[in-house]
Amino acid sequence: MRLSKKHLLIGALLLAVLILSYLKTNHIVFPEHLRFDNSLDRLRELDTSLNQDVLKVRFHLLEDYDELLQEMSEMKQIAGDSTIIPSYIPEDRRREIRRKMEALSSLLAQKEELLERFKSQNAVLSNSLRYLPLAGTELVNRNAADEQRHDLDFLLNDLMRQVLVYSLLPSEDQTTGIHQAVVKLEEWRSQHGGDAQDAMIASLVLHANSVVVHKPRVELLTRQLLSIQTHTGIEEILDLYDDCFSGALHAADLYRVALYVLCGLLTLGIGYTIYALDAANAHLEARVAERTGELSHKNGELKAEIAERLRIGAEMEQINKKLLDVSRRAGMAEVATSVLHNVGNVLNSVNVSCSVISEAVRKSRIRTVGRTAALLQEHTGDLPEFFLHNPTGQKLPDFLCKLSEQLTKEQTSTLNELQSLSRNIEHIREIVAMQQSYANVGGVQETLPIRDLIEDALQMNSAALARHSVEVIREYGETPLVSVDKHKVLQILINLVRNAKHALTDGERKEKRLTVRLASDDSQIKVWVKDNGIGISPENLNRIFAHGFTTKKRGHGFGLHSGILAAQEMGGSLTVHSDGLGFGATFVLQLPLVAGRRNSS
Amino acid sequence: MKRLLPLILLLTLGGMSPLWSASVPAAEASREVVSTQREPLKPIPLEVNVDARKVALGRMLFHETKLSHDNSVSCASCHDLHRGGVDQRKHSLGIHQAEGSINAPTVFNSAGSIRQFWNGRAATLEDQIDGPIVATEEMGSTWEEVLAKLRGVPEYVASFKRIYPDAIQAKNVRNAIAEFERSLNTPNSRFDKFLRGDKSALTADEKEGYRKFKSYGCTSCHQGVNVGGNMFETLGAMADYFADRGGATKVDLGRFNVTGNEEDRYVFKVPSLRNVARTAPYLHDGSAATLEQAVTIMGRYQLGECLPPADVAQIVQFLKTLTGEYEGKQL
Repeated sequence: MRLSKKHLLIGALLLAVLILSYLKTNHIVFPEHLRFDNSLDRLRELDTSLNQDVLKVRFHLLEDYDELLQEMSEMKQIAGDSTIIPSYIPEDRRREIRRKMEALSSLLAQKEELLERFKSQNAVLSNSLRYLPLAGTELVNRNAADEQRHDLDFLLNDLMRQVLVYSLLPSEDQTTGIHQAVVKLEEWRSQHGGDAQDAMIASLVLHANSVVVHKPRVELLTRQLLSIQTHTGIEEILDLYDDCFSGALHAADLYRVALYVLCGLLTLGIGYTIYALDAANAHLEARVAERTGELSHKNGELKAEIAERLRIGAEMEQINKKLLDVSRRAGMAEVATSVLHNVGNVLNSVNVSCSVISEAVRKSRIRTVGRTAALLQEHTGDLPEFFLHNPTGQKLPDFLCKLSEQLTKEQTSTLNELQSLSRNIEHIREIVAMQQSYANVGGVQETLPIRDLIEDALQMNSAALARHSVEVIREYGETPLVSVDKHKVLQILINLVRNAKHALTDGERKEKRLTVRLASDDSQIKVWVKDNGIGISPENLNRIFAHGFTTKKRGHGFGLHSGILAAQEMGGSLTVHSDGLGFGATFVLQLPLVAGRRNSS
Repeated sequence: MKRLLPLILLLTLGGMSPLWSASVPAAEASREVVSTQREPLKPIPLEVNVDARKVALGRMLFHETKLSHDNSVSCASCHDLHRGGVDQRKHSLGIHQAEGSINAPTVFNSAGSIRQFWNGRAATLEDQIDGPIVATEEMGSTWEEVLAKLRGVPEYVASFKRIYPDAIQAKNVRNAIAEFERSLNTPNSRFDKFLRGDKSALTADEKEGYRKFKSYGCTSCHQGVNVGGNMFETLGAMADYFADRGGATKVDLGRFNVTGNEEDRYVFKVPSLRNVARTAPYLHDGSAATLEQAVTIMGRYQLGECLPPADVAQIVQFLKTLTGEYEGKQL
């Protein structure tokens, strides 16, 4: 199975979803979350501590402000540092948290201001509250010995009591009480002016007034400090953040579930893939086994086929051998046929010559000579008489002269005929020699005028041509000498003339005409042998040169075949043209001027 | 979804290991609900957590006259570390011998102050530094000028580069100087030793002075580690200080100048009394040349009491035990 683009795409997509899910599950940056969460917790803790410390200071359980200072500055620092907001929170929620932190910061600033006033006012108040009983008691102690001053003691004690009660339970009534006590003390002072303790009493009054002034302020500031909504502010941030956090946690959980589901699916997918691969493997193995079986089967078949082929090859070889034998024999037969054919042609002429000679000899006047001799023998004794008086004897010399003349004529005719005979016999010898030259490639090249060969061919068929009153037309152009194998060319021409003669005799025309034309150009010489005989049908035109093709009753189908072979052998060609049955035919022999052999075995 | 919950929980538990692996900061040291000793004063911690490299650079800058316009004045000119962190003048002298309008507070233990300056106009030590550098009667310079000068000194360029990635910047100069100032604490005073349990560290008079210091109500304001410095108070809470002194100027308005709030008129930061014996003259106007004068004035205007000279003397004796050590040496 090939990895297609689709598979890769699906794989990449799955991987991307996996990575995304994993990143989403790790979306929450826990160190940041812890830092912020702890900071908010710390803020809440500090706020509570601060409020507690304010109360402690208020009730003198705490005598220094260092802790207030530290708590406030730490709170301000935390609330003022918006960089602690975790980065995983969406920007809009972060902005919201930042806004709330800013609101808290401004609340803290208010609280700080209140705290500063509280510290200042409380310092004065606690100082006065501390001083008042000490100074009052000291004054009372100093007056202990002085009887006159009991009223003063009473006044002082009253003031101290009033202030003390006021400091515990500040109320309008108590304020009035203190005022009355102060007024009485002032009255006493004006009555006993210039007293040594005047300044101390004035100081006492000052502090009493200070308590009245500062106590409500401290009370108010304490209430304001404790009621300022820093706690709510912190809670709001915490709520908001918890919301964000749990939302993020929830989202992360969803992604985690998605991740696990995806992992499960992937596991299933992998399992299935393994199963499928296994199945595919089994299938493949089965296929392989099957194919192997098929292959071995095919192999067997192939082996058998090869054996068969070998056997056939051997048979073919044998057949070839046989064929070779047969063809050799056929070749020999062909040669024999050719020889016999050509020799047969010549033998016709030999026969004619023989019959002409024997006719001449049979009709010879030679017996007349014998009878003359016998007559002369009868008259041996009276020869003169005979010649002189006998009428027969008187005619004898004339007769002998005429006889001699006749015999001389006969002799000449017979001699002519014998000459023709011997020429034909010579041709037969040459045919035989030529057939031998087929076997031994390469015949004898002779340089001669081609027209002599044409004449020879016509001459050899002249008797037959004359018998069938064929008009021979010669159209010889001037041609150079050619160097050819004379007998091959002669053989071709004889065959052409003979075929023409046959075509003319088979045809029904009265004026039987055989036209032989000779022409040449720069490179070759051409011989046309044209007849107006029966012609060749188009279907026969194609196979006329084939071996064994013939239209003659006693033909061999050899002449034209050997003719074209011989022409090609000499580097020339033999072609035919016919317009069809009844339109005659033209054979053209072309031979190269420069003798050449076609390069073929 | 309900059925999924256990699964979610399980998976969440598996995936939230970072939650447990992160360390939860140790709970704040248990807070004493009520101090058993009930002492309003606390000893100065013996150790202070600062960056030594920044302290070293800050020390150089603290003594650097290039911070002033004419290269004549450094931080140390007015806050002489050998003179209790002050110049012991009523008003400090800036460049061209210009006289300031207020008494220089000590630089020692200033990190413990609620805010900086007498009127608390700077929230932090860092914020405070801008004040003297640009004030015409102090250093009379600008940050541009200061930074340009510092950048011309290879040692500074190298030192800053080592500590701060962005090298010489105003904020880094502030940070280095502030860090140096945070190192200027003075632990181990005789009084601190007393507080830490060495009852023989103070003489009988000094102990009596401390008792009176508390009983007269001085600790209403001068409390905590720094014996003050952690709150604001009206100067003349019980009597009109400025009416008696006369010649009130703008600086005498105190925190009012910062907040514009009527309640802050004549309000000043309560100064720390640590090393107070070394930081004469006293008060924001430097009007009290001696501790006795200062204590008497405080008694009158802040406590509304006329302190007997014997008590004043004892209180002063106690105040002198507040002198601590800087770099192991008595201030």
